[in-house]
Amino acid sequence: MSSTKSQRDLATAAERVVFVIDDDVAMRETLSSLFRSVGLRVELFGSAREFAQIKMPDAASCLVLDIRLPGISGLDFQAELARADIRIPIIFMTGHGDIPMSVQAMKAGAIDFLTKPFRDQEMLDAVVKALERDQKRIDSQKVIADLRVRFDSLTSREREVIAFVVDGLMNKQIAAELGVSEITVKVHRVNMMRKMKARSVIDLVGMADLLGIRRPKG
Amino acid sequence: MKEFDFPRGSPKRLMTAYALSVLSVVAAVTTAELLTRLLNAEAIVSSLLCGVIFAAWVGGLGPALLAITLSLLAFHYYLALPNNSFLWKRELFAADVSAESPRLILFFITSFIVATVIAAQRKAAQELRHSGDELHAAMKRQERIQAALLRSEMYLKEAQSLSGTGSFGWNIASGQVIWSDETFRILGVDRATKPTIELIVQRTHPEDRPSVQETIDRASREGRDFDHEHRFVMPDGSVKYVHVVARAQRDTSGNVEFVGAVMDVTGVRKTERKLRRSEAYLAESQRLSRTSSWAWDAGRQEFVYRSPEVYRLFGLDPNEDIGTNQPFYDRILSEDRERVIEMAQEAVREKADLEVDFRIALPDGSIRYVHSVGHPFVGEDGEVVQLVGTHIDVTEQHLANQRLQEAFDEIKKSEDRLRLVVDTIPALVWRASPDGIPDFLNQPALDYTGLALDQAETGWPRAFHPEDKKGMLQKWSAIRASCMPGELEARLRRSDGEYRWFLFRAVPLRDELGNIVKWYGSSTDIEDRKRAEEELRRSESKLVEAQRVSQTGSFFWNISTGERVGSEEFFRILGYDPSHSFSFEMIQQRAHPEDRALVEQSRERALRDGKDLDYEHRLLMPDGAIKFVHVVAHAARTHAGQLEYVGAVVDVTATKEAEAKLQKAQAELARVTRITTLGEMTASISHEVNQPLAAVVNAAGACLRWLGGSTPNLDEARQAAEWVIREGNRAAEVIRRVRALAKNAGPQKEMIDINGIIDEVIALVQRELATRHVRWRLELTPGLPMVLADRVQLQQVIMNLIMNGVEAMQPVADRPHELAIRSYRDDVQRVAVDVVDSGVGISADSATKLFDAFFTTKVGGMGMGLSICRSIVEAHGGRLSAINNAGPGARFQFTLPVYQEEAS
Repeated sequence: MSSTKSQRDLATAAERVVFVIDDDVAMRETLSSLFRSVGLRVELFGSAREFAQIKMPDAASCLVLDIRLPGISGLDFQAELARADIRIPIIFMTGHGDIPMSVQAMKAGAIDFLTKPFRDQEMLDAVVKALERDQKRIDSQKVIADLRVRFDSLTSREREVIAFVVDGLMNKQIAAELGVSEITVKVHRVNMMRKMKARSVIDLVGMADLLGIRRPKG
Repeated sequence: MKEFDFPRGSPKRLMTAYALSVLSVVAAVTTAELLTRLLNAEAIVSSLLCGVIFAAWVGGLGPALLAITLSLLAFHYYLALPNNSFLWKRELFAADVSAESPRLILFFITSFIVATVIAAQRKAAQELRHSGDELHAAMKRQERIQAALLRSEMYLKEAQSLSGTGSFGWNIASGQVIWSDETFRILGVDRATKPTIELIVQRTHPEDRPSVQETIDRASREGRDFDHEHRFVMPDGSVKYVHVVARAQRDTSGNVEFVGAVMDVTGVRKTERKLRRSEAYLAESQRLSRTSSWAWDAGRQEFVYRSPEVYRLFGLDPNEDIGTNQPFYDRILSEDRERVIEMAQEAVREKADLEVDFRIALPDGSIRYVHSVGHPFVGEDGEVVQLVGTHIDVTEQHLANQRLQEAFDEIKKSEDRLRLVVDTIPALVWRASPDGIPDFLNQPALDYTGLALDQAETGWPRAFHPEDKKGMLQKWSAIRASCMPGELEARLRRSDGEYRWFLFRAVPLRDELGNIVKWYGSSTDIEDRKRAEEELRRSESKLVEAQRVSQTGSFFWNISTGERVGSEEFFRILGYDPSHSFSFEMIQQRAHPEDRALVEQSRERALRDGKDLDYEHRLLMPDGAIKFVHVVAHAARTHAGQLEYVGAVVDVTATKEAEAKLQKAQAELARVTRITTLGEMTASISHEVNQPLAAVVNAAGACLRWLGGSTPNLDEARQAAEWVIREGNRAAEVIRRVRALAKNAGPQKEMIDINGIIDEVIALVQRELATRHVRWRLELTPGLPMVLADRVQLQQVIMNLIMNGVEAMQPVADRPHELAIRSYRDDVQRVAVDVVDSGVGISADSATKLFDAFFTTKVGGMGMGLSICRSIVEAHGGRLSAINNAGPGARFQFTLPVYQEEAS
């Protein structure tokens, strides 16, 4: 039943893509057939260098990678991606019994480490997991971007007010801090909440966290 | 009453006299006045007259005249008018002179006569008194003279007695002789005896009588003074020396009278004689010793006496009168002059003795050295009056001293040179008395042993090594007894405690009679030589040993002279007794028949070309054994131009055999390696198989999905299926390849000694182990029973286990890599082999999968090795297991059944 579920999920997210890097053509082609058979878009690469030349997609994506590639080891590639801040989830494959390597790979953030020959379902599960994670990331990023837009629409006063409100200050206190009347503070507060589309202070705090707003210590 | 007289008398007396006369007149006048007043008579004349008389009596004529004058005046006044007036009358003489003038004149005459008479009388009285006094005085003088005369007579007598001088008087004419008491005494004649000349002559010493008689005769004849010395002989026989002096006088009658003195100068004479003698001695000694005496007067600052010798010393004539000191000063060398003067002055100042040395230059140009000493004589006032001293000509001494000093210096120098030589020579030099005790050690000897010379005499045997001491003493005694030069060797202790070998050589020194007075010796350090000897001995024996061990025999062959020498080992290799003489026949005989030609050829070539030899051939020993020998020889020319060979014969039989074995083993190794490589290959094999298999799985899964969708995509499904077939074939191909490689005959079982197999494997992997710094040891139980097994397969198993162990140790960095291989019989009597490593050990989760195929913990590992090993072992009926050590590392063990079990 899981396969049905994943099929449905996957079918609605047609823009998601799986990247496959393996030097063995059979491996590439059969994996491609496998992924496509569940409705995933697949892009194939023979080497890490080929992959490095493409532009990352906007949609969720993941990477299926043989740990022994010509020219570069999979782990090193993983580290490079991390350095370049490309946070694409990785699934490793290996034809050898590289257990210590697997541990290392997992510690470095790989989704999964599969030894050939693996069961096709195993691979598919790993891919789905990877794509969901990536989606979450994208979504989260979107949310933050959104918040940032809202934040940018605030006046400077309103931004000051946010910091104090998030810190838990009363209107009276904020007024004292800013040197304005309480009425004025209330007005700013209302406007700010509206612009930020926050329903409560709790909401606001969560937004502030995402945005990284902290009241300046002083 | 004082005596006044006109001509004499002091002014004071005169004045007094005149004053008195004035007073008397005044008194007279006064009296007259008084009388006049009282008696009323004219007493003036009488009074005045009295006054005059008094004045004449007291003072003599002068004062009397004065009194007269005054009286006249008084009289005139008295008589002149106004009477009794004491006022001066201006016209004193204007008075009535004519009336009173007869009275005046009368008075004048009277008084004058009276005065004169009185004065005369007075004078006479005075004169009388005076002569009376004079007579009295003369009498007194006479008395005194008398007394003095008596006294002086007494003194004379005393003086005569004390001085031994007697006086005499002799009147020639009357022949009267008078002697003083002392003269009697001197002559030894009784006082009562009458002095005569004859007595004198009698008393005279017989020898002097003629001269005495002559003197007497001459004296009496000529009446002249005489002065004579002669001897008297006393009654008691003693001799007196007398000095007779007489002066001739003429008596009142004109006869000659002698007055003289006889002096007993015996003592003086004797003393004189002594003095003279000693003076003579002194002079003689001064002359002989060239001493000269001098006296320097401090006050006059000049020499007041110089003995004749001083003159001679200064090269001046003593008889010449020099006059000043200048010539003496001039002779003194200018450098010394000041010093001499200064020292003399100092002696005077300090009232100390003078001692100064100076040089004088004689006219002939020679220099004399003078040592002058002087002693100060202090006068009554405490100051130095004179310096008295001598000059001593010390020229000879000085020169002698100089020469002596030079001689000493020479001796000292040559002594020093000798000492330097003795102390410098690098040998220990010593001298001993005939009884063998050293009495001299040169400096190196003292330094070496650290002994002081006095210690050496008693403690010298202790400087020798205890073991050598006894022998040394014995030998030393023997050498001394033999009286011939000899030598001995012994160890001598150095000052730092180390013992070194020394060669002692001793040589006797004989006196004129041939007796040995001293032993002289030198000792040389032969430690180094001894050590070198020792070294040589040792190295020789080492060489012999080395030759034996290396089975190399050396030989030496001089082509020209034919001289041949062979070492022990050389003979042994050839199988001959070393006492055999070395000849080519020997070698020919031993050479293997097939190689004889080669040997002969080589020899000829050597003789002909003179080139190095290097060839191998076989020897056939008498017992039939074959030896391989490798002959090498180097040709060289001696300085005489002769050709000689120095070479070695090496028994390379063992080497050859080992080589053969090695070759065989290498072939085996190649074969085994191929098999082992198989194991390596499974790594890639597994990978190569996995790839297609994975592709098959993927494709199959894809195919099912393509077909399982709501709308099956047949094209895709077909493609996927095709992939399955393709990849499946690929996998099969891989397997086929593997199988081709692994082709080998089935296991060939035989009786095997497991220890031997282990040795063989070790031999093959030794280098590998060394390269990987693996320390390995074998603990093989000897005498294990045989097993029935395939040799190659067992090798494979052991090699695999070993390499496994090595691999397991590779990651280890903090402890040594140690591998142990044991063989033993286990508790069920099977043959067991353990391979123990100090590596990473077996982890918990590996334990179960260790021997599974495709299981590996190695990076790049195949996972086939252990499974193959197990299958081999199990195929032989044994078991393979692994367990971690108590410490680091793991132990792999396999057991095999013993052959008997199989049979049964």
